[in-house]
Amino acid sequence: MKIRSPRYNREIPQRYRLEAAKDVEGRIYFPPRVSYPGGEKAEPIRLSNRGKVITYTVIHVAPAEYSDLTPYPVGIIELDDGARITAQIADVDPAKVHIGMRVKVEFRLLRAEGEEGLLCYGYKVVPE
Amino acid sequence: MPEVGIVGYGAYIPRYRIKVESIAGVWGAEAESFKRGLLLYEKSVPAPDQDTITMSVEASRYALKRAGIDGSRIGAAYVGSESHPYAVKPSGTVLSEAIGATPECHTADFEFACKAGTEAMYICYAQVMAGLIEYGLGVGADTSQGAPGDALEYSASAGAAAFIFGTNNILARVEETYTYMTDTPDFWRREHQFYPQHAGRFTGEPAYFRHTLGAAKGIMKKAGMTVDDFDYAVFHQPNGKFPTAAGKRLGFPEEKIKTGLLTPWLGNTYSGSSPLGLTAILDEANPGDRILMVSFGSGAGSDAFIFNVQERLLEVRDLAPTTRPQLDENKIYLDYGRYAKFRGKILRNPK
Repeated sequence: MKIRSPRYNREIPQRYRLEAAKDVEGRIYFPPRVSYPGGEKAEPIRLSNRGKVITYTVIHVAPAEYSDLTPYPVGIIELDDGARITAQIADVDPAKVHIGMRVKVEFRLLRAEGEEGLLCYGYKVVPE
Repeated sequence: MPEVGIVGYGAYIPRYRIKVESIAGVWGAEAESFKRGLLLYEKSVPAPDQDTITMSVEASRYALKRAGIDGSRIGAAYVGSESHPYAVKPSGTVLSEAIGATPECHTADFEFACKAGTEAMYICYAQVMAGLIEYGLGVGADTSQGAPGDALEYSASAGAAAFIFGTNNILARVEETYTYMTDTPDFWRREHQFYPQHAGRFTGEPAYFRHTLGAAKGIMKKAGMTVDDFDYAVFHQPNGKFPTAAGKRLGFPEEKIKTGLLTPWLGNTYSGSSPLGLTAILDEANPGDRILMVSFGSGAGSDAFIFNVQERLLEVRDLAPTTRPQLDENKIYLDYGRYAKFRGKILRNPK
């Protein structure tokens, strides 16, 4: 995979700090957008770092750069402020993951671009 | 001079562990000799998606919670480690970005074998003392490596401790600092080498003990204090034996040492070693208690601090995970095969 520095750089606010936006009706947008429906303004917020598993799947056949991690669970996580994110569920036996499981967000290495490229960091979740 | 001290602290220990038996069994060594001789039972292992940067971020987030401040108020963030993930590109930039300290934040990566963490703490303390910054974040973190089969493989582990220094709402006031440093060739790693070299028994008396005892005696003399003035002491912990012996030689009774002694079940977290011991002490110390901390880094040198615990500690201690539960609970044990895979010790074809 070739270096994707500009894209990685653009996504730092949401991947590192869970930066999102909340509009006047209380709707949360993650990641934040350039513009919002109806031209509404939205306030920047940071999402909660705790939540629960809404649903999940276990990846057995992964893209090459994740193949060392198989089998690994990936879930849709509802954070305590209501926003939903997709994240890998780390530090857990996949057989023990269940719907409703409490999790917390941790800062992890998402991928390494080979031996020479960028190290790409962001969020995963782990059992609480 | 303003009063300066720790206003927030955080510890992070990965969940994975490997027992001494699992390593000894592979190399035909006797686990008992490591347990009895060096007081080592098991060690932490970083997950494949963890490194010095990720653990620094977690420890620093806990420190910010206890400090009750936003990351944007951190004026300097320094990471001390001998396992910075990049050879060129600071760990501190990722850390500062992750806690929201950028762009008005000084950062640099420190390296001084196992004492890089206390270097980071000292520079933060000094900058706050000088009035250059309001808050400084000093982190000691490592995912240290021991060569397969080497004695270091039984101890080299992973963890991070973060300390925020400031002048408001101090948890532990700095009463004194002291450094004892010489050029001593006890342990090193040359550029592009995977694993460090060490000078065997030379790492003991002329290196660890000379500097650790020198710094401990030096700071007590400078402060006009004796062993009786301290309720806790924590020393760098390359294994369980050295800090226990150092404490004994200085005259500290065992009960003043045991709270901060994590290595028998954690391993040597290098730059995180004595800093993590300090977090375990802060987890249980009471206002008025006095703590002696002495780090050691090969090369070689020791930094010493005297902390005086303040009332504020009791209010914020439980705002983030404490250290002992991270060490004792939710452990996931690895066999040597998975450990070798996690640590990249298996020779493979490039992908």
